Amino acid sequence: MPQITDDQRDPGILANVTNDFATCKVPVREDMANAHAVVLSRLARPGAWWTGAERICIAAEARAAITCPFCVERKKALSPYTIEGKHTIDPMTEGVLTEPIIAMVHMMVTDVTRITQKAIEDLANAGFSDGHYVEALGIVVAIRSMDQTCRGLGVPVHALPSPVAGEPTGARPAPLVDGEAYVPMLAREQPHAPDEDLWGADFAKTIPNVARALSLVPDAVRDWFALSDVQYIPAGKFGAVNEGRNLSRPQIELLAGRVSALNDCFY
Amino acid sequence: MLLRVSAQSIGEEVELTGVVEGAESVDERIPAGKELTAFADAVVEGDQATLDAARTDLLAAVSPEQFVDAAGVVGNFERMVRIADGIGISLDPNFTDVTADMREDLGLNEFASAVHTLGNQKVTTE
Repeated sequence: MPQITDDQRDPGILANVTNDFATCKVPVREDMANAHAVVLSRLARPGAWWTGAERICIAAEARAAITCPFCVERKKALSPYTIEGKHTIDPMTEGVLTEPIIAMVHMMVTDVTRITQKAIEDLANAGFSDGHYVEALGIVVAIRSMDQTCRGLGVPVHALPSPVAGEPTGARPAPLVDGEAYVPMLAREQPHAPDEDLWGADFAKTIPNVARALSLVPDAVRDWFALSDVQYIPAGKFGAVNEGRNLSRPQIELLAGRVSALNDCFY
Repeated sequence: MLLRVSAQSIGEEVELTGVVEGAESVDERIPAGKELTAFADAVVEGDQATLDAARTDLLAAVSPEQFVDAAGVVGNFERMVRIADGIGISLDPNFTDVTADMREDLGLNEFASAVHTLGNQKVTTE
């Protein structure tokens, strides 16, 4: 599984995260600050399909969606695809992201259970590939996860970083398989170079689908592991059902199940 | 599913209804289960006052280290649910059969996302 190393995190970002956590009523684990800093540092850099500036705007829209009146209206509609209106966006997004991806990012936050394969195909017809979609979702879920952790802790959400210049790589990992989900995912075997760090042959057969889900964009999986390792259970111990953290495993799974139920998530 | 199995691993059988119905239905054999559930509800759906109260109650019921774990887990699963539904992944094969009774009992097959999560697998409803 991917390992966090010092060179993956920007020292300034780590200092900001550490300062946010220092406002908590109780001490926050250092590994959680490190993981958040790694994810935010990666957010600032160009990805496979989006520039650093676009990635940060996607994160900003993940936050803007929470208070977007049109998202509330759309959530109430019988079909989210028949209602017309305009999303309330973060000012930094103006001129950087276009309406189709803004609408999809807002839906990822506020109405994700009604995203369909057709909606992803429509996004492709608007010029955004499956890679664009998966990378955007990876950003949205990482920001949502860190923000909700901060909300629970009672500390400020982390400031979004400044973008790092550069162009997306357009790289697709291998070997991909179609037909298991709305988008291709890496097969249940060790990924080919340069992504062989994602999981080894020993974990390949038992890796849960939710860990493979974002694998069209390997860095999204690296973010997935970085956060899961410190906010849930380290990947190699998923199946060790008596393994907890400071909370027991049943306490952890109670929280996991409850959050899933509140989000109408069957998985 | 993992709640049931993890409880069994420490010699307990727990009722799972609290997962769907909320804090008042949480099995009392899970230490601080009510406070944990109320905290999860408050982070996901609560206003600021509700969250502040839930945080205070949880901090009174668990250690500071456990409180930090709880915030992390809630944040983590706000992510997991969106990945699962946003990518349309199916339930892992080894979970489908063993969760059949539990899904029926808790009404999980009625969740909108069951359509893609079960894929081609049959949903049994009364």
